[in-house]
Amino acid sequence: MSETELKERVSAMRGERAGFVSPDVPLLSNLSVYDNISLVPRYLTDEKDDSIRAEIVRLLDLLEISGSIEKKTFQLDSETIFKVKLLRALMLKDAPTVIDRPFVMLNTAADISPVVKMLKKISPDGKKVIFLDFEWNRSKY
Amino acid sequence: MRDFIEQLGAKAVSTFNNVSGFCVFCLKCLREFLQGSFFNRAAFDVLVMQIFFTAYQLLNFFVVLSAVFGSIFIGIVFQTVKSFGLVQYLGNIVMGVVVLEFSPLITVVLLALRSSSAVNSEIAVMKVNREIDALESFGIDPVIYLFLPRIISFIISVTVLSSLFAIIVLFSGFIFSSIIFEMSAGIFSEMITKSISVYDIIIFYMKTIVFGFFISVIPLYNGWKTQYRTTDIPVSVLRGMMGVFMSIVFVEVVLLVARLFLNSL
Repeated sequence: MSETELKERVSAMRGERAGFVSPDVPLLSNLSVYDNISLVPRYLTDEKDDSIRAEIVRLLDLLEISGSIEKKTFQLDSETIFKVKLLRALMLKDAPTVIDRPFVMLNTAADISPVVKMLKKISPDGKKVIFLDFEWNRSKY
Repeated sequence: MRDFIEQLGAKAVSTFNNVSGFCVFCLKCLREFLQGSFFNRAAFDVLVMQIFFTAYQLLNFFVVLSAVFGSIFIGIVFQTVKSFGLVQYLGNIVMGVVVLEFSPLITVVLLALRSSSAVNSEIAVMKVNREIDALESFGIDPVIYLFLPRIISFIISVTVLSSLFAIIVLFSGFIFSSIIFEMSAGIFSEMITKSISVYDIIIFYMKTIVFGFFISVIPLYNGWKTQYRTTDIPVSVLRGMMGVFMSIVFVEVVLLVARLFLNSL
């Protein structure tokens, strides 16, 4: 896919309810890691705060970034930012997760296996995950 | 000539679009307020934090400023009243000028300088960084999550701080009246209560609410309308602060006329 086609497709998908993990959908810079992830369920659902916190702490543990729970975005490296974006997207439980240009966010990854590994750890079975990327990255999948 | 007319037309269209956009923005905020959207727990957290930043963090400085500034001002007023032999109007002057006009004006100017500019630049930076787009892509309405809590917090802050300023100024007035006019506390308080009407109190609180609304909604709108360019951030803050200044003058004049009209009835 060319860059223009890719951006058009992402724009079209933004009209639908989906959890985006994208270089164009940043974390909120004035919120901590926990607040960024919990914002979606706290705003959109009636789930209790204690249960949201327990779930987020469990997921952060699985991705080995629980030490960053109170950190702000500027204190995080690119891999941690990707993981936080992924967890935020997964908080939209009834919607698919769209991972847009993962290698732009994970520029040291040689292939998609680290992302797949993360998804296997944290994502419930049957969760739909859509990858969008450039044609030239096909071999990395 | 044709160029001039075209320029005039373009300016008129641009102004109309700006004003209508601002009105739509205000109506959307009002609709969400009436629907009680700020009770959403995520938005309510922002409201509490914003009251903390806007009013609570400022409190120590504000109390000192009110005491110093209020005392100086009331001292000058009392000396002038004494030298012109206007002691019988002291209550009206203290309530009409110092408490009802001066208190909300100083409060709103201070909050506009400190918090409106901060809110304007915060929202503009969020817009340029596409953080507002990020919220929308997750189904989070920026009006409910970002704008409404800030508007409510400004209204609460201006109202509370203006009342505090008025109380401190009245206390300074009591001290100065006992020094300059050797007036007892009973006489001073009787004079003050006689010189205030219900309309004055209504106008005072109406003024604080309208001030709070405008010094928040104008910077929020300008921040939100920022283009996706970092060079647009200072332009947005500049426009926002000019709008805030104009709105303060406008509200002050309109409500002063309204108070004079109501008191003449």
